[in-house]
Amino acid sequence: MHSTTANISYEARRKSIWSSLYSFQEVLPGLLAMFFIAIASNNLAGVPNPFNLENLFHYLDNVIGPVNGQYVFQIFNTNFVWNAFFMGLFIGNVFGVPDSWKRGLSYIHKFMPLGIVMLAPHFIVGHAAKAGLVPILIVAAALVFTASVTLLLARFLRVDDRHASVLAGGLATGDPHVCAILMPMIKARGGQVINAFVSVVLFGAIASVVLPLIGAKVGLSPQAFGLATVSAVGNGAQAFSAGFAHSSEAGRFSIYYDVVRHVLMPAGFLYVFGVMFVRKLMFRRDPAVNATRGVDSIPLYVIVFVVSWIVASLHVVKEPAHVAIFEMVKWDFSLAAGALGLSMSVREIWDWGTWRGFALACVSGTLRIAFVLAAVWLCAKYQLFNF
Amino acid sequence: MHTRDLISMLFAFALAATLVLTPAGVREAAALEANPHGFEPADDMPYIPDLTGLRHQSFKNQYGQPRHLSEGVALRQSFVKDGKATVPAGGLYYISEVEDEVRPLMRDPFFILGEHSYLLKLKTARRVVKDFPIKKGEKKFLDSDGYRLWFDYVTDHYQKPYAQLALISPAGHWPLEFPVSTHFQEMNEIKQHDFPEGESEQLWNFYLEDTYAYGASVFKAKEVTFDTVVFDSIEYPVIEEAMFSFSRPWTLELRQEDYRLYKDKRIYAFRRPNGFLVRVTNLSGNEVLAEKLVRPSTPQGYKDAEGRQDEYSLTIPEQDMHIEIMIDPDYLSNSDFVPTSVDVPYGWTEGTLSFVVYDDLFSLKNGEPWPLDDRFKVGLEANALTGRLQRLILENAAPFTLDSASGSYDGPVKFSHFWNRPAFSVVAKNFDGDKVFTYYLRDRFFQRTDNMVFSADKGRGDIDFFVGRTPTLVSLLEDTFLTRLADQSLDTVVEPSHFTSYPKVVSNAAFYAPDPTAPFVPSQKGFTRKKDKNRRGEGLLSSEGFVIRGSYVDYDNNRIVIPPSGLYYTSRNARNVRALTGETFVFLGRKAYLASFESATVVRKNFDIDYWRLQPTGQLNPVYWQDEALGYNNKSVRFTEHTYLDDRVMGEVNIVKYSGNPFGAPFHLTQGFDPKDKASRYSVTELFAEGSTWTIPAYVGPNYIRMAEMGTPVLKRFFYTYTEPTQVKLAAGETAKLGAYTLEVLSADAGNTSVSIALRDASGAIVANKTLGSVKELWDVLPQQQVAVKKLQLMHGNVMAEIDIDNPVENGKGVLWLFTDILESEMDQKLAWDPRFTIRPDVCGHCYQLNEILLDNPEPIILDKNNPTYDGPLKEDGTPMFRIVIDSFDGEMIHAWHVETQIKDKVFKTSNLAFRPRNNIDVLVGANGSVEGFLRQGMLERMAYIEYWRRGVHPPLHEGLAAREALNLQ
Repeated sequence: MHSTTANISYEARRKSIWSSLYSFQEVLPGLLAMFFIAIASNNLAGVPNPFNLENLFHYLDNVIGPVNGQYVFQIFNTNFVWNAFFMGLFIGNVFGVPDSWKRGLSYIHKFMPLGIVMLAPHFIVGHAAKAGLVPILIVAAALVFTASVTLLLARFLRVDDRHASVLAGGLATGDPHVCAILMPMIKARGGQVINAFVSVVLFGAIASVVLPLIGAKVGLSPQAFGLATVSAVGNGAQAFSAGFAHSSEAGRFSIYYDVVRHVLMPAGFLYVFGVMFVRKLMFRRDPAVNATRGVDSIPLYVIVFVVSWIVASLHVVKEPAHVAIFEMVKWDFSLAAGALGLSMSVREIWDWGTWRGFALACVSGTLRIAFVLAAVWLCAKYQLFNF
Repeated sequence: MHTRDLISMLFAFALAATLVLTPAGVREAAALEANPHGFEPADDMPYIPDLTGLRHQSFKNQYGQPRHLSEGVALRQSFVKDGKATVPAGGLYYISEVEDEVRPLMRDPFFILGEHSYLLKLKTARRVVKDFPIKKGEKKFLDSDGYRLWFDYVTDHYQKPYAQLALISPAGHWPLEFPVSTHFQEMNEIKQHDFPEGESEQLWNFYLEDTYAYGASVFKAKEVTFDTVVFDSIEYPVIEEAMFSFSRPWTLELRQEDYRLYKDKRIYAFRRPNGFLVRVTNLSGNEVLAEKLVRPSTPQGYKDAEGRQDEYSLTIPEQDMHIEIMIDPDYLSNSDFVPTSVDVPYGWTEGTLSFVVYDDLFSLKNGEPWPLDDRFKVGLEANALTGRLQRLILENAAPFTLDSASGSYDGPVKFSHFWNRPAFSVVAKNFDGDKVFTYYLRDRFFQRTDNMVFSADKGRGDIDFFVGRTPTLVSLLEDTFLTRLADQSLDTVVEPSHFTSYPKVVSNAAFYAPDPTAPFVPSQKGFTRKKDKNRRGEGLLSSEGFVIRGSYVDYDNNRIVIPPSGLYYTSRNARNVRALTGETFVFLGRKAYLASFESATVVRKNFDIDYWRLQPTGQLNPVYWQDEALGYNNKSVRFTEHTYLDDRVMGEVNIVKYSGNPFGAPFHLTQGFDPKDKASRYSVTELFAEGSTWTIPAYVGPNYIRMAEMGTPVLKRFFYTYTEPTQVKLAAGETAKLGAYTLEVLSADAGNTSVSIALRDASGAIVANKTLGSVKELWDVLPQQQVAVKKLQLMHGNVMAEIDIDNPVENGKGVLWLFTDILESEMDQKLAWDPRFTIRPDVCGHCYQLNEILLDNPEPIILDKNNPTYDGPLKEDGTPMFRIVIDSFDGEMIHAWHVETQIKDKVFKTSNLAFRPRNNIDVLVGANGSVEGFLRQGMLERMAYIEYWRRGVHPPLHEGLAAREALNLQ
């Protein structure tokens, strides 16, 4: 390690609160590795590099052709987090990671919370208002139901509670990236996060095929089915694929209602964090309780995020600013995901039970589908909403 | 030119119905034999705007002038039969097109099967077709290349016909419809009048010529009737040969009396009085390979004229060399080598002389096989105005079939610096009888479109399509675009807004077009769209709608603002509403009968019009202060485009109506081209007159036009009634009741075609009398001339009697039409029962008749949390015509809003018009001429967005010049 400060005591070099950080010289190699992985992975603001993974996937999408109008790699959730992670994982596992990079890679612990805070303007609750109260309630209920059932079922399937937590967050919100967002809150391991991520994406892909078949049997209207896809399938492209597989009208309503799922996403991961945090407080001495262990109080960035979310929901951040901030989020998570990929061995992903996470996702996800279809069907039958 | 009516759409339906009803075998055999040139793909053909292998970009030439290039692939006239898709010769074609033209000696860029090339030489000719008759509705071949003439429709003035036609290129493109007639005055005669500035009486003459001169194209009619046009001659430009280079040129600074090394050659330049003697030798200089006097090329337009191009270059085909000498501006400023646009193309004062050496030369001949693949034939098409290259098409030379066993057909082999390969392939599979269920286009990078069978369960009976964004698509969709845009199978298409820090704000929206992305609601309960017949049995479609334009979100105050004139109700017929023929229109949901009208002529003299594109901020905000008014709230004159014909500026001037729609096609104004001068390669009239609108330019420049005189009609007021007029036939001494009066016929003169009448009040006293007629004396100016119209009508109070012009006296009895309960509407007058709205009647620029009725808001309309709804103009029964309802608005983004109408107790709502978030509530409701005009303006972008809407994905972001053009659709 090329450390100039390794032999000098901390007390001797302490000058300010920033002294606890590694020196710039120490972190530079790692940061540069993250930087180059980020720009080789995604189209990022200010870096017009056309030769990146995002564009490669887009090219392959066009070679394969759309499925139900959607791009295949998007159905499998490739985006700025996954691309950078995949690139980092590939480099780390094929070429290895020099020790000199590791201090810089530790900045993932700064980038992740920062990215989460910057995500706040992405979730303006008022944007869901156009959907009406009943759809909002259905999406919210599906969210809480899925998270709760997943956390409960995890005990029966003997899934580590950290693994279960990130999986519950990803599945409940329908967005696999929530697995990554929950990582620092839950203190989950990288392997658990990726395992959960893959499980959620795979189940979403299956659900996007299965749900239209069930939907046809249930006899829902396109509008009702569009709402069901949003709550019961998974990430945007998967839900839209399911919707368009049913009908073009259902597909458009998938898009229309997706904003509800989207803006309620923070509620999903805050709910999982809250449950697991309270559980840890209640069973502090239980060795089986790992989730949020080491998190003694609600982290400052979570509080900042919640405050930011509330402020953003009051429409303080206008749309052009939101777009600009989201470009920074892409930068932030690209760097962090690159670091995560570099820090992880492929084996670690399966260390937490090769198929256990996926099995949990399937069981919980199936129950969620049943719950959502029943709720939507009842609302339609009793005309609680004009589907 | 009259605004295009909806009859074309009905024609399209009729044609489609005819095709459906024709026996299939006959149709297919005919299709295979038929020449598809000039025809469009099937009416319901899928349109895919983007495929990566088909480029759509803007580049600048060596003088910094932008050229907008695009490529496309189309397939037409195909059919599926017995599990096999058949495509006739010329059915599949690749098209590379520029928005205007590419010229030699300019390093103008051009796409050829995805490769960037430069046009070097062009061999052009003017084709002349003599004595050419054509019937209405025909698209008739003019030559063996496949150019057709289309006789679209005919209308009349003073009961004499004038026709609208278009020259269609083999690819299907036509630049504009031109009017010709052999019955009216020549436009030069307008100069004989001396109009005072301000308002004058209606013109008696109607100006329309038998010759339409459009630059390099001239159409001279011999006889125009309602059914046939016979042309004396039709002249249009064709391109015989073009030479391109596929590589960027080598640029070597020229050294006088010395040589420069180029690869293994020397290029000498010896100064001569009129240029440089350019000599190309081998490396040692011992062997002269070629030698020629070459004049430096500069961008004067005449230099590429036929027979002059060769003076400016030395081409050595056997050495794969083409040499030009150019005078560089400062370091090639503005070229696409140095992508900066801070300079002006003609503005340099010093520079250097350079050899520009092109290699990878490629020559194409019109009608010959494509050099790399003889399965395809080359078509070179000229810009009908300038005569220079606008389009290259490569079409299949022989018919081909696709079936389950052989489901792919390769497009032409493309040139590549690395790997010559098919530029694209058409793939079709999953055949079942006469249907195909999968077909798509794959580009040279192996990327493909979506399956172009959009209805997976129904399949398609043909494999027609259009992929790409070439401007020809607009021509191809002429007959069907309204039907396509009105198609509600995908619900109301809502394009999301682009949210910016500064909304487009205007203080008054008069003469503005709505946001080009405004949602289009083709029909809504409560808005009439109905056909009615006049006394002569002519069917007239009346249609109502409303438009919101210029609306914006004032996010500092959490409100939505519709500026004054931003909301208008519109009622319009398929053509103008004429007096004396019992024509009807719809006014706020009620059928009304036009009684009479008062029009005038507005004349302006000696004024300047600025070039409209000069905008202060570069943010594309539509600032229209350059507009010049023609009458108060009547018309606006806008100088929107210009081009050069042999360096003479040709300005494109639009007369914009109050509604924001242009009046007909733009006026092309230029000077110095005498249509009678056979030595000139361009023919353009110096003044412009069409019908009763004319303009006489004093000076046409690139930045402004000085108008010596300009005139156009204005409608002051019109009279109408909701009570159906009744016909009476009265002999002398006979009477009939007319409102509160008694009408008495005093005499009926069959010979003079006149009837004398008197109106008596209840006491029997005569309150008015008049001799109506003589009809035959006025016949030649009927029914449009108002002085003549008034001679045939007697109006008193709210009643009116008019003579039947087709049958004034029958069996000694005068034939009269009686109008009662007549109402009067005056321009700029408040609506009597709803003063929130002002009446703005619009006039036909040709004929002074009532063209459209607008009701707009003189005051801004504010929609916010406390006022989320707004009632449109009230009908006479006090109920609103429609209601605007804001459902979800967060102060910046509109997430949900709709329009609703109420009929009895039932409320009819549109879909959510902010299905995707919007930053304004601009909307087009109904389908009449005004709405159609707005849809036409942004047709290509609208059609393109529908494909992304259908799939539920976002369109790719535009970048660079393309983005600017995309935003600049208004």
